[in-house]
Amino acid sequence: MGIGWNGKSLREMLDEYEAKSESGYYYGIEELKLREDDFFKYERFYYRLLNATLEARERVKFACASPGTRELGELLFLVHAPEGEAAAISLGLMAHVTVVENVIKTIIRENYEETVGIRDGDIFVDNDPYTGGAHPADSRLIVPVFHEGELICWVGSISHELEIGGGTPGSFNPFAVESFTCGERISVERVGEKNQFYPWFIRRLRRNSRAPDLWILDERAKLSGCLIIKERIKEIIEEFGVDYFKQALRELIEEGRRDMEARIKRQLVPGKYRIPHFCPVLYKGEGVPPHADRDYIIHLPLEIEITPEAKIIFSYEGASRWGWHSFNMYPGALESALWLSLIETLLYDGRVTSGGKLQTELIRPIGSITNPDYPYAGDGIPWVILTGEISMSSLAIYLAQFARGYIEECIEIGANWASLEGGGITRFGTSFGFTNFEFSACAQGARPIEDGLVAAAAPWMPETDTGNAEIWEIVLNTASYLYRGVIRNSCGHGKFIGGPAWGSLWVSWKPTVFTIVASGSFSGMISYQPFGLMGGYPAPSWSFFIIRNPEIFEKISNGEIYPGIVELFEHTKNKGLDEEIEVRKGFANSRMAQDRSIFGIIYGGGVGYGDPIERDPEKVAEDVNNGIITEEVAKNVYGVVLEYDESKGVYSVNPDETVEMRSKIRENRKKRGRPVKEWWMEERKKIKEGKLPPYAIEMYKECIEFSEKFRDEFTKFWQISEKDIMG
Amino acid sequence: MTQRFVVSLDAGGTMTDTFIVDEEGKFGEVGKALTNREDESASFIESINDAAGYLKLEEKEILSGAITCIYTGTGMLNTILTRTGLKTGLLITKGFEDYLILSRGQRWLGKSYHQIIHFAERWKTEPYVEKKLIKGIGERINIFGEVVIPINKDEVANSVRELMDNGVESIGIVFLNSHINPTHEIEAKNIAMEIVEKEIPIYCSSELMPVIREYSRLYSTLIQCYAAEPVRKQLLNIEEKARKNGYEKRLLTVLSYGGLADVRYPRMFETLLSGPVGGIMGSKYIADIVGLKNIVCCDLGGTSFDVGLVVEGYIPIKREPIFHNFMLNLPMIDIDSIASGTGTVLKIDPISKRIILGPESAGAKVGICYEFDRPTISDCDLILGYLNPDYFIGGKIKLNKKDSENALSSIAEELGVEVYDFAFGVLELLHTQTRGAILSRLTGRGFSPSEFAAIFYGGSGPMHLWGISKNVPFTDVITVPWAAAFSAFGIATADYLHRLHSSTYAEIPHNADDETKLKAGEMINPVWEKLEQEAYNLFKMEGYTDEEVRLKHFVYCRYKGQLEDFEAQTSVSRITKPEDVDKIIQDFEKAYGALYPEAMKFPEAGYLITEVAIAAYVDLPKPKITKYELEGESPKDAYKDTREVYFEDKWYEFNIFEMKELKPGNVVVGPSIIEHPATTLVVPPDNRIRMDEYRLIHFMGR
Amino acid sequence: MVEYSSEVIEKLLKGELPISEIQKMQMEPKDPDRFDKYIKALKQHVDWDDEILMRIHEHLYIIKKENNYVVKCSCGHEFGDYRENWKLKALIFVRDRNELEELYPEPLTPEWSELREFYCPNCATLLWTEALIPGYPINFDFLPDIKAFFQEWLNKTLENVPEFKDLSSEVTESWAKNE
Repeated sequence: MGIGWNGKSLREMLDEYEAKSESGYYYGIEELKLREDDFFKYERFYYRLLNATLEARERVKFACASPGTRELGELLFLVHAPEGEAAAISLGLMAHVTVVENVIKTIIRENYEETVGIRDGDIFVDNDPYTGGAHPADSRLIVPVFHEGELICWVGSISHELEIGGGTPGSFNPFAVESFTCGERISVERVGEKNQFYPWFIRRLRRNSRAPDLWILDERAKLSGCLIIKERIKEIIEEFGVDYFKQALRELIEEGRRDMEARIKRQLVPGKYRIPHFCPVLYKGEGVPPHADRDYIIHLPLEIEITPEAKIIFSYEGASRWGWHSFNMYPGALESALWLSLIETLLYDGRVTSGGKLQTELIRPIGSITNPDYPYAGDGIPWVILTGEISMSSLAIYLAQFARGYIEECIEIGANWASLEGGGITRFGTSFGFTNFEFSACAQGARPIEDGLVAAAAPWMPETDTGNAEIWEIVLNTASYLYRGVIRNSCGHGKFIGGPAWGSLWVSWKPTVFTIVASGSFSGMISYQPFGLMGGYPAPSWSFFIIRNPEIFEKISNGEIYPGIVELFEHTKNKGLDEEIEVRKGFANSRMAQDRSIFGIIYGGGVGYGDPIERDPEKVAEDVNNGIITEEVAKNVYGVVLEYDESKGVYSVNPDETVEMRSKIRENRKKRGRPVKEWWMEERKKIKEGKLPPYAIEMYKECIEFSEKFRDEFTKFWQISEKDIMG
Repeated sequence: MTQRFVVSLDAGGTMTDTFIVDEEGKFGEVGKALTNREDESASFIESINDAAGYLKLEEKEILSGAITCIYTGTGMLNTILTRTGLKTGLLITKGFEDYLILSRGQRWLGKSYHQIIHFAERWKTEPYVEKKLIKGIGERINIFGEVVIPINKDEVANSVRELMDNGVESIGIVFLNSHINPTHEIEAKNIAMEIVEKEIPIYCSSELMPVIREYSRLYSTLIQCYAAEPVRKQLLNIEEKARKNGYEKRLLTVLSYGGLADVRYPRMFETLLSGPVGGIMGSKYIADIVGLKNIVCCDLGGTSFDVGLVVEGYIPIKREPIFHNFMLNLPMIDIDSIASGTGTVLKIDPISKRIILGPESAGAKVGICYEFDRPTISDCDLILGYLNPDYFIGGKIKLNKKDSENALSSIAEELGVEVYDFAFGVLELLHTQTRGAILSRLTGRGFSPSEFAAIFYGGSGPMHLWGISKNVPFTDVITVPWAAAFSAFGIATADYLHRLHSSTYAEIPHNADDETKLKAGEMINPVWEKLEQEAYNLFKMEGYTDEEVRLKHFVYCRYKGQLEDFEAQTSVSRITKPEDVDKIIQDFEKAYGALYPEAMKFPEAGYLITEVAIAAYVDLPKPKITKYELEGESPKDAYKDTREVYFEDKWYEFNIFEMKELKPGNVVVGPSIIEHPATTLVVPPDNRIRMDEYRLIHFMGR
Repeated sequence: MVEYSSEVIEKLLKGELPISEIQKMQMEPKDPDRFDKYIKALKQHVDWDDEILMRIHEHLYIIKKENNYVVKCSCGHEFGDYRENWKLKALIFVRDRNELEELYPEPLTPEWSELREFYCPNCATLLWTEALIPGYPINFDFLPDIKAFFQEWLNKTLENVPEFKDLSSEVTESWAKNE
């Protein structure tokens, strides 16, 4: 007798599910019987289930310890069918819709049912990307729900922990070149029974984090949330009956698939969408093991095909191999990221269940960064790449909805983020560690009808929030904010501008021991997005910097330098103090912050839309008055000539000179623009002669060797032979 | 001798309701007048006049006999929505001038589940202060209260001069960590007052709400600077009008946490979210009279459904309510609001054929049956026979049933169901959603409905209470004949109350020794003392002596490591011995235990008290709810008619009664409908109602 | 069923629909007949009379010209068969470091990618920008499957629809031959 439905084992149920789903319908469900019988009853059932997850999240959020969960709500609750698919999903960390099901499937495939037994009251925890999610910082807690001896469903939860131990303080560990130093790893383990944690589990968390109370309280909160949902499920079963419950779970998931299929057909256009992008790995001199100590580029050629059958195929053919870095992606990670962009642009008002995922397919070449064939590849922060994937796939959806005429729906889901992590010893002699999650307020790209927004949203966390500086300062302990605001000239320029970047600046004040680490989406060595939209510019990416000379702080303190980030750079440049600032447009490993060290992060901006010289000149004047762009950029990029009224302190448009300036820009474009053919001839020559930058040649060689598809594309475009590049 | 009254007015967006209670506690019909947005003092008099008419009196007789007159309006809300407040300048810690543009990134606040996950539904909002009127001031204080950057006084002076040159009419000052160390804010204010010379409002965040989280402190300060004085002017204007008509006392208004204050009360921003407060106060009042300890208060109106609680006779408070798309630091009665009302629009998703309710609402336009272009819940109520098309607002508005039927039929056809089944199904969905809000409200705080009675009010509360309360094991389900004006009634019952909060920092480790406990007292006692003094001063300004003031003490405590603290009322008012601390911890554990399962407790982490508060009361005469002689069960005097009404899956002949004619003791057995000019009470076939000696209506099974 | 008048769609296209109306539109389920109304509105939007099949860009359209399906700019310039990357027939400009700093000053200036700008040879409108690694093939961002879209999704008949295939490499092949 198995613990699954009707005496089956979970393993049998999973096999049956997989066999039946080959029909293209979830579990082979071709008819939504309950829905057809009594639509209103079915709908009420769904709301009961959804409300249970929402209630749990709202209720325990406030009892959580980490600002990630309490302040920003980085927390998610789900109800899963026995085989793993989710039927109801709360708000919160929605990027992880599909990752809990991977854990459940591991439990089933590895036959825990027989080897350890699965009982009512058991608690399972997993934070291992190899078996589930994106990075070890995401801790998943799962409990089985039983009804009269049958495992009726699972309740799952996820939170992002801010400190998980590992080689560097914080939650991401961007310099872990193998999985071993990414942080504490809990790989699909039972950590408690009878609704109580084992004492050794709590002890393990306490011994393996620099801020253990945060983690312990978060696990307690998630358990409480799951127990609340369990209670609700009991009530729902009492009201609707267990047979109804079982069938309705399945129908809800299938309905999610149907909603997705119909929306693809209604709102998109079949065809091919290509968005290649890159992630530099800047490890040279950053204290990593010798075999990883180099700077190079990861190639991520995303190709999206929307088929006539309304399936979306995401392909990473041609991607770089997995590497000695912390950004490798195991199954589940990429899947949830890509699917997330579809929820936020297409399925938002539909049935958000795992079903929609069945309309997608993901091609992850074995051995590539998207599917490492080495089980210990560094996986501390694939989020560097994953968030970008959400953004990139939203660009494809953007183009499709634009062609369909739904221009009010076109949005680039910006995920141009960077994170500050750190830790050390407080003045009271205790340890501290953190990840500052304020970055989850990313700038969003421009729409065809309106500018993008600053600090607007994070794709993984729709309830975005920068949080309060006063709260973050408690966690950062020895650092105080000096600046939190918009960065000038950082928006993707265009007819409609992308959301400008914002940034934070801190001073470290009488620390005992304080180290900081920086990482983020792709890197500032290249543009975050591969393109702007319709002639708009891509937005610049993030940077981290640190100034260790306390005199600079004295100057800020006495008012000589405005503590804005741009002003700080201008000042040091003008005074010839460039070497005082260490700028990293890539990951920074364990920088020591001393007394009165200043450090900061500029987050990324959003893409622009349309030719900047088509932007309404009045809007350009407003941008200058609001400090979004400078007068020079207004003139050179937007062709808008402004006049300054000193008495009012505002800029206004000079219309005649603006018309003239704009026609000059067009003239100039015709002069400096060359036919592509001419450019192609020259570039081809460069390639043949090996005159590309070394990092580019290295990347092409690696990918040509690894992927036939990329080799063909590359050699056909340049009309060269493989030898021309491989030498 | 002239008669004496308590007069309370609730001025909503459309109507101004007046409630008059005489000294025996009797009250009659509610006075109504259309709210005059340009001059609320005109609708004030008009509404009182209307109510006076029912008593065969004139407004002057009412006002000259009034012991207190309480007025709550939408002035604050309108000032903000219409952007007609004072031109406000802001001094903020240098480096934070873009704060209103960033606006915490919370562009999803106040939106529904489906809107939040829809990325295209994020838009910018115009800041209340122009960029050039925001001045950064060099200064920084860290979390330990230490000065990291001393305040730049010249910069303050220059900035204030520039603001004045730009014609600002008020100034807000918000510096980081001023809740821990307010000296920089105070210095800046002193400099500003010297420079400004004339009387304009200048407020520091630390004097309004000295608690952590600068964003909500900033918004509270701005609201106070932007809207307080214009609204005060309006209220004083009303007071003057009242005085001309014989009123001798000061006009009172309602605070968001349910207290009353003289319209001269300095912290006017506390009136901002007072709209739904009246209903909760009224519910608590009724509960006290009939001896109920726990009630859930359900207000169903045209646009929203609000749920609040009274627990053990106490009304829970939240401190960071959401207003539009930002959060405020402001104690407010803890009310959940969902966008489900009888004006809620219903539509069909063409793909999945699912019915979607809201979030938009027809508001005063009712539905297709009146002035709105899309069908609403009211259209369903109408075609099913619950709503009487000829008796809406006492017949002042005629509803068009045919139009509703046509519109709903075409949708029902799309779904392939009968129109009446469709309409009834829509009601069931509304009921599920609103019931969900009640249950998650209750269970979300660790309560079970079987410990609670439910009171339904609002224009549509009585009409849908049968559906919303279905299968919920409440101890009682209650409504009142004056349900549509319940808010004005509730205001008349409110306490004269001020709440004051302040941050502190008292750490009490697990197994703390006596010395540590007494140290906590050193942190907490002076803050309580300061708040008490402040409360005495406020009441002194309003004409009360210290002896007349009653105090309650609160701590906000958390397990160390948590980021949220939890309110606990405590019987301790000063910590003089270690046991006082133990008592406070006990009080906290009890409050926390009511919210969370045992697994959430974490005493090993130790405790942190981050904030304390006091509530200060002055007792005022209140209305009494008269106990009537019970008459017979038969409601025959109230019987009007019969009508065909659709229920569940078929048509029934419902008896129709007139609410005004119902007598204490009467029992009405379903299927029946009891009509009132402002509301409709539906009694399904399997239910009945009974009016008790206080004229409360109890809804129960047959 | 949600439906908008042609005037509303025209206003949306021209950017004249108030934000409050757009917000309402976002709250509604999508209107199924949008594509037809949009195409109709687009006809008012350009000065030429060719039959518009699809708008793929602020300024670029796929039009039907006799038996060919070609990309056309709003200014009237034609880029040829839509299955060949239109960028190959545009003007290109690649910014050097100083020119990049004109857009994004230090420390925002990217260093390892090159920014390519594509202009219409006729009206010099900036049509596209792409930031790729030096030596990376020009990207073909979007190739719609016109055939499947019209015939299978919209149930419309189109004559002489060419096969769904990327023909861009044929262009570079011809360049290499002419060398």
